[in-house]
Amino acid sequence: MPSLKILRSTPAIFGGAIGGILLGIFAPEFALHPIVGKLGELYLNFLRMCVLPIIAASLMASLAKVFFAGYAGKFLTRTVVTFVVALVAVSALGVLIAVIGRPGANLSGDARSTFGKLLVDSIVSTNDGQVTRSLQDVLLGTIPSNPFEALSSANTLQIVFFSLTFGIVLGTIRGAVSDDLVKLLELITKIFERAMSAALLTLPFALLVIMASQTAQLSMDVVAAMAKLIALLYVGALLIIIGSMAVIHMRIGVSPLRQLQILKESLIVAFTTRSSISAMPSVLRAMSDEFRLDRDSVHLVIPLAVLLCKYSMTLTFAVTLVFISQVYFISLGPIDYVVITLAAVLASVATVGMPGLVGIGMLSLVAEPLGLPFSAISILILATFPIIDPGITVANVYLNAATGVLVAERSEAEEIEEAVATSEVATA
Amino acid sequence: MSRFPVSRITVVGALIVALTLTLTSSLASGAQRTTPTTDTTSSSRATVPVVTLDANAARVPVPASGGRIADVIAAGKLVVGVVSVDRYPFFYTDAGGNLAGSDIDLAKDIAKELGVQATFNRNATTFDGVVDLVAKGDADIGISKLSVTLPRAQKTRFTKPYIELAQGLMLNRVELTAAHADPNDLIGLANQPGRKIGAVTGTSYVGFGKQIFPAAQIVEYGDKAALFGAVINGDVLGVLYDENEIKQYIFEKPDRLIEVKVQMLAHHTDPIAISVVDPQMQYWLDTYLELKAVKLSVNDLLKKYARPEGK
Repeated sequence: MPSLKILRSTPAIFGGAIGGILLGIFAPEFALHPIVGKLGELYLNFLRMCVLPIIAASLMASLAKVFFAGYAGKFLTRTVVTFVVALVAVSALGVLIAVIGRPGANLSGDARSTFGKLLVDSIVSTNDGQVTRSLQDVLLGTIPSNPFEALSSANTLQIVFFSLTFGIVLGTIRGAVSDDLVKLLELITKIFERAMSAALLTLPFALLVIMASQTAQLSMDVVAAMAKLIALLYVGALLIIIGSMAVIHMRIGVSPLRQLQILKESLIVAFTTRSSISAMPSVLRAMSDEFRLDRDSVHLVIPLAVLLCKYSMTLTFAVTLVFISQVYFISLGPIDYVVITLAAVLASVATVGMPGLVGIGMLSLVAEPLGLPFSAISILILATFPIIDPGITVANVYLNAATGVLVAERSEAEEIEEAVATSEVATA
Repeated sequence: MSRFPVSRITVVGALIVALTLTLTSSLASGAQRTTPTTDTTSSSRATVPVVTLDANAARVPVPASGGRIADVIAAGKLVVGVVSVDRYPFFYTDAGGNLAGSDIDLAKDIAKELGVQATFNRNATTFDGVVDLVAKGDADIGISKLSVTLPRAQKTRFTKPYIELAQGLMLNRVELTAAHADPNDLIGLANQPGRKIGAVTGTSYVGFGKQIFPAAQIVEYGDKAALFGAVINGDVLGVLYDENEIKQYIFEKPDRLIEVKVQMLAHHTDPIAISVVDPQMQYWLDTYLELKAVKLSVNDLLKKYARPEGK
């Protein structure tokens, strides 16, 4: 179907996005119409529908296969170490750019009054800080009492725990029966990956409505008032992307330009849907098909990275904590900056399974104990988040890919590609 | 964590702001005091031959009738005590230089129902002073955003409240965070030995503060500019004032919400009522308030009364 292929071309995708932005600017009545918002929701819901089975099935199957292959311990250790190092590095980068850029120092009168207007709405309500759950709740809530409830309420952390348990135990049971189950799980993953891939045909139209309603909702006053913070976060996102490019280039020798070509689809989905999870299936495909990495380890490390390592939140949190200290003239010493770096990592891990906007509230868990007043700033960050989210989500996806490249095994066995090829033929 | 909550420059800057505010407000009230005695609604009736030596006290005190209804009707005028400082939106000088506000409208309507003219006595410089005017018979009634308090109720009677203001706390966010406050128990946090809570001298909020926060230290400030300056600088943990003053301040300077948090106290209201001596007059006023269903709210008032220039 060559006619349909046009819909997946770069011009079609950018056309949809730019058309949406123009609609949002010049026809805000249309863009803010509830139906338009619902159409965008429809597309995102379809992606979410496909992603949940992919996460569960691919974690179970690939962990079992890693166990069969006998390198599970080494592999998991490498995964955890890489994740922690990447999170701390992102956090340190956030602190560094905020210290150099000083986004919270000398706020202009205009910026202050824009913030003020945002905050006035909050005094009507009695509680302007929004703590959603405590750190203990997060950790103690990891084990689901009912795995189906975890799945139906999309409790990511619980799903991960359940899937990992399932995969580990499955990996200890040798035999034809468990091989069949692994194959079945891989088939489930493939089915939903293909469904998502098909859904990308409608991406230009989805982008049109999503970008239109997002653009129309943007408050230009807030953009102007927070310009410095927004710019810094985009600089941070850019540095993360450049760092990830370098890592991928050094590890597997793919040039940055080629990387962009391969990851194009993933990055566009990330930028427009502002959801790393929605971009995950195309990352998985790019990693195993284009970067030639071992399919099993990719299917294990990428879902884990996407779900557990929210680099975008780590960066935002680190910058925000330093921003608060600057707004309130709280002077910080070198040790304070180290504490902030670790606190931002901790808070970002606590947001696992939460949508970005809700997750921001988790920063109060570390900000308040550090003596940094967060409740007023949280409202400013919430207002700014729609503008920074696309950029930091792209950086997040890129860094996920880079950590994947670092951890995943090189693809050696030809049989995997053969299996993929035969399944392509079979289903075509 | 090594921490200097507020830098020296901010302190100096805020002090200058507070000073300027204090100066301008005193200048403004001085200017207002020198305006002619136009506190009567009908200048034709202002035939009171009183001369005062002090230029600042040029306001003509209008002899009251003692507050009895029959005397008020006989005199053809209702003398209403209103404190000399303006309290927007209750009583203030509008753009045209006239006395305006919800208390003024209420007083005029009461006078209209009695078939007389309202006349305003603004000799009292404090709210307690208005109650004294009524008690001494220098005013028939006092409508001046008067909080009902036990000390005041020793001097005059009060009608049923015609508006209930919430009592509000304005808290310094840095101090609040340093104290590791439980957001659900701000009163408990403020009511600890060593905590400082500010209130304006001569208002009922000094008493309210001692009552709500018996363990804390109540620090008095001369006016609201100094009061709000103190909480913004972090000199006190928080300040206690009424909903109206706090909301007005925040609506004018919303950016202050970056430094302060505002919390209305759910179980502490500030009933505002009319001060009156004569029992029959009190009964009549209560009936008036009930039949006319007078129940105001701060949000409505701030919407209804246009803010005067420069306020």
